[in-house]
Amino acid sequence: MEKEKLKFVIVGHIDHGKSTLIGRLLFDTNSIPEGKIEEIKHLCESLGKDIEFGYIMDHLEEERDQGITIDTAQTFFNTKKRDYVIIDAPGHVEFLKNMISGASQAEAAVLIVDAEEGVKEQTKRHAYILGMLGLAQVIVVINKMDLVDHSQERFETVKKELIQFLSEINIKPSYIIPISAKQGDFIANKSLKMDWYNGLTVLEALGTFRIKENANDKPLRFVIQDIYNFDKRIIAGRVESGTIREGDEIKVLPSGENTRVKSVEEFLKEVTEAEAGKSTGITTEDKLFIDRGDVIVHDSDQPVVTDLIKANLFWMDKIPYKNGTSVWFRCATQEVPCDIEKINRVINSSTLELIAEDALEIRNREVAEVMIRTNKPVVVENFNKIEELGRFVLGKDDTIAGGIITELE
Amino acid sequence: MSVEYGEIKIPIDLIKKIEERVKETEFESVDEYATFVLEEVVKDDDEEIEEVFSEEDEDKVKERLRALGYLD
Amino acid sequence: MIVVLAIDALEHTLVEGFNCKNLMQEFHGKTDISEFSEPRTMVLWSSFMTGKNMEEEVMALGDEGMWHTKFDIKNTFFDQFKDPKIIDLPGFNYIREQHDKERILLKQFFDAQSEDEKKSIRTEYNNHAFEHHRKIKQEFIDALNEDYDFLLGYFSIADVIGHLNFGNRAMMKMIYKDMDEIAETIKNNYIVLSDHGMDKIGMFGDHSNYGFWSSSVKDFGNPKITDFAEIIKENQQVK
Repeated sequence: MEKEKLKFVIVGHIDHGKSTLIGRLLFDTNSIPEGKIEEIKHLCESLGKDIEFGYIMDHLEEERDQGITIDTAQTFFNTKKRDYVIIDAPGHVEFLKNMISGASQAEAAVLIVDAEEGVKEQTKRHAYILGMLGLAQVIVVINKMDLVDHSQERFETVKKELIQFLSEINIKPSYIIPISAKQGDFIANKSLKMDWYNGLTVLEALGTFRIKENANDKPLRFVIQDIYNFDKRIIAGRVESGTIREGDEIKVLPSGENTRVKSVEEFLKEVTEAEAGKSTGITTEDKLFIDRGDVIVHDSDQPVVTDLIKANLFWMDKIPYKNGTSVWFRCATQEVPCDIEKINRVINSSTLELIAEDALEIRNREVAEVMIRTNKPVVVENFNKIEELGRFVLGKDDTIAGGIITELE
Repeated sequence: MSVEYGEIKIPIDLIKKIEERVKETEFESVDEYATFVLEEVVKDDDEEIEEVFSEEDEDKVKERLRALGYLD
Repeated sequence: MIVVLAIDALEHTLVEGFNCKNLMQEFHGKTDISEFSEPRTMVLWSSFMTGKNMEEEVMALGDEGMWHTKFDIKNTFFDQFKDPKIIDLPGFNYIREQHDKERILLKQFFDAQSEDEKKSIRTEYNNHAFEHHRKIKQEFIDALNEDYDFLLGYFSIADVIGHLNFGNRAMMKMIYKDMDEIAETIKNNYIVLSDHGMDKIGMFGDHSNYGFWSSSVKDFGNPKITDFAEIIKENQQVK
């Protein structure tokens, strides 16, 4: 059976030891191909120094470059318990775009801070992204403890400064761990050098994090693609989450009418249910008015039906959005006109600098926190609950922005 | 290291065609089928590129090093 | 003390690509070496120290002979200083046994027939270059703590290793980062200068047709390598 897999991202100031931490995680979990470590060690010694774990990623990338690359920018390691994927964030632009568009979904994050240098502007910006993406499983590591004599006092000072900032942006880290990625303290192994710390190691802490729930286990969301009238009336759609079964009591949104599943239809097959990810058809007991874009759910757990959505957008069109312009809102099979009612703040996705608050436009590659008003109610979810209905795009002829829903009325 | 997986995007139409084809084969899934085909393609490429190119490169660099005065 | 970090084959695009802050300093750019028919190491450093284009003179010594070029200090701008220290500079006090052996191994590498033989020669070649690098590094760092009024450290590692390994980006990065750390130890104002850069040919490296410079004081624009004798002299007068 395939082991479960947790995807996480490591963020923080560029010089605070991200690549050394990645190298150390790979090394301590024996995830480096045989011979590679010896090669790196030899080169370091050739240059007259001890092995530097920060070079491990470079050497692995070198290997990748030599093969044909289907580049996923992902690095893997595993523990007995589960597999891990470190999603590489080479630049903020790609990272934000991938996270928002769903190309790569991190379920957890490690924020790295240098014990000597403390919290920097870049640390804050990266933390802000985590908040914006709604990542709730966060570990803070205070790195390079070896450079501050493993001082508890220094650790507490940096910790205090960081917690204060994080609380302002509503991030509550699950763990704050003093580490030395260089020397391997509290990554996979505990260390006597910091006997004042008796919490978890980074690997132990990652081990406590939840894997994203399997879409089958989530509430039912069956989005309608089309209606076919053959000898019977087949409602075709895609099960985005949950499972739909023959005999289920169902509700059609946004109308709110109830009925029951008479049959689940699959071409040339006898079935009684369809699970997440499946495109299928159903027939219903009652003949209701159903249209493309409607969502069928169970009564027990319903999505939100609203025309006002708070979201974070990644703008990817050369033409900027001007306040008041009408564009298409597309979520699953729903498509309605909308406009951005308010642009709360706009951020440069490359430098992560705040460009404007209460802005009048959003330009290419900018990230914006916005309020969207749709022309009629849509069926949506908070991104962190059911991402299939929490992710949307804005478009004219083509897609002009990707977004995730962060708050609903 | 265990086998690692990533995602690639290919046109839906192509996936549908592969789905059809998979039914007539002993492959279990589209993923398995696509992996096999890609492996075959990449395998050939690797062999060819490595051999031909490195000799060509070597001749080229030899000539350059000679021009720069290193090899006499 | 005026310090020059002379790095053979330091490639502009890699210094930027690897974000080597201490090599880049506040101002950096490419040098213009288009007046030379080929970017030859010995020709370029000779032209640097004399402040004149020395191509004809050096080339007249022949492909083998040119490697043993030795200019008298009177013909160089080093003469302006009371107590200069120059380490291993081509055309001045280039350490002959060391660099002759590099070229012998290079030749053996290309003459070798089998892959195994090539591999073992390359290992020997690399180790030989690294061993020398460690010595030069130590000598340079020690000299930084002495009372010289001018210090020039010449580092050949990026060129020597680059010729047979430039396609190995990870390896080159380690070398560039090491050079960056060496630059970090310099407490005075310093100039970083290379004769030429490097282009990739598969796994190998070829000289590129521009060099690299950097300074913490001034933007030199797109200078010629022969301009530096004057630039450094002026710098001395300012002090």
